[in-house]
Amino acid sequence: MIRGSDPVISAEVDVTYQEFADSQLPSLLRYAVMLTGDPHVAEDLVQDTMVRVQLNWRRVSHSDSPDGYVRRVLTNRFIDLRRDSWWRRVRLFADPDPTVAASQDHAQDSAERDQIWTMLATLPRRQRAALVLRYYEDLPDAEIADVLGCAVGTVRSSISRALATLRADLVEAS
Amino acid sequence: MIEEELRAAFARHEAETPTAGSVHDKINRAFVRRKRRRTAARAAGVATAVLIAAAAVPVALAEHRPPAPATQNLLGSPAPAQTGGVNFLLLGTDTGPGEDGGRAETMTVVHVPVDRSRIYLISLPPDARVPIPGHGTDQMRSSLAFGGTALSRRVVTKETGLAIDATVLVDTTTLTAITDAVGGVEVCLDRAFTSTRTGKHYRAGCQTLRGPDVAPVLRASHKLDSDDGDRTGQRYLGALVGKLASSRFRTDPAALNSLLKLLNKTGLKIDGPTAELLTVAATMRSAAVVGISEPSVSGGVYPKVGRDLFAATRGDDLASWVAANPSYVLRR
Repeated sequence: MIRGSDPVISAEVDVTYQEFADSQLPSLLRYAVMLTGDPHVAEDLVQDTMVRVQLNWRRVSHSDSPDGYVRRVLTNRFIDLRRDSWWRRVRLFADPDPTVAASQDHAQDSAERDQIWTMLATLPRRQRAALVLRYYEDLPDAEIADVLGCAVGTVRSSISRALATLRADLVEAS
Repeated sequence: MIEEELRAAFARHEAETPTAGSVHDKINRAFVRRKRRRTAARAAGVATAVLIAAAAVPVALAEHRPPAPATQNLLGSPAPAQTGGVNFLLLGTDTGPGEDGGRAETMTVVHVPVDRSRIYLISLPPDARVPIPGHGTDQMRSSLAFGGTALSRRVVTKETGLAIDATVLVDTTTLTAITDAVGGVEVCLDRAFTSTRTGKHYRAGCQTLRGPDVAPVLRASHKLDSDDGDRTGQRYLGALVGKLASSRFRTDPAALNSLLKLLNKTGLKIDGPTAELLTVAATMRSAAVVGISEPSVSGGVYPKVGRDLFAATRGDDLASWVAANPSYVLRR
């Protein structure tokens, strides 16, 4: 005899994790979009991170700052996972060749306005993360250093190098 | 100002953010899948360690008897020949009969120290991204699909610096066979449930599980347990250890050997000197198992403590390392 589906399946949800996810998902997704520049990649990155967080929820929830912890995990995975298969797959269309973008998009008004967004994709990922953390998340340098797991001086030099690259590229393109 | 342009670009693209609701559901579905696979595979891996531990039980029991003069040499150390610390690599997959082999769901270095005082299980993160010879950088678990146990072994040696004496590959069919071989195990379930695969109903409370019950119960344990503690899986293994320790395998190494042979017909695959593994088992002084795992989920193979951990393993001094790093030791 085939019985109905399992009666406990819906009752067995970790409420604390779900509350955490409810409060954090929107801001994590926005953050991931800024990091990756692509909503699909962002969604994959957040999903990948949150599944790991949920699998290790007891430990994560006992850490000093679960939301800081999750942000750190997501950022590290973004930096490390560039050669991951899903990343490579999506990257084919998410990460246009910068030289093509710089010349062909020139004509389009909106594309020109978005040049800086396109150029972000050409930066080393650690530098891009530092820019997002400072100019989107508005974190002080000490907290950026904490997320990236490096010294404050390293954060400042990454950001100034990234800004210099963007400035030079913008001058060259205009 | 370029800073202002950056802020403006970020603000413009905020609208592309996917909605949280749909992502939330996807995460929960992916979690259930991962958890189910992980629980079954982890249990399979531990069970093989348990098998070897079970062979140690008679030795442990013998210690409580008055020592016979013949078992001591002049220095008072135990007489059985000791072959040095032993490392083997346990790979757990969740494939059943007729399914394709593939990536490892769990990867564990099992270290048995020279003094044979306990068994250390060092869980490696299967999804850590590492260089895989001939295949660029990929998840460590993919090494199994790319090049079998031999490649997994190379990758683990490269990441940990540990010489691996043997690899053991297990899946859920292995557990099924072990459970049947010991005549079933008594397990207490917190809740009743009905297997969605087999349609069989399991009542709450204590009952004897037979081989065919193992996979359904372990697969359901993610919803039977109230947290991520894999309690049902642990109870099952605890009961299995008890059964193995009280069965004929305890007193008869030949019976254990024949069980291993039987298991070889399931998903169990041992690459390496099986006889030596059994010798190690025979010289074990206790069946105590110490689990070590990385509390962080940030990726990498023990990025913070790996150097010390693996140096301690090579130097056969894991006892001190474990004492100094309690947060890495799994609670039982």
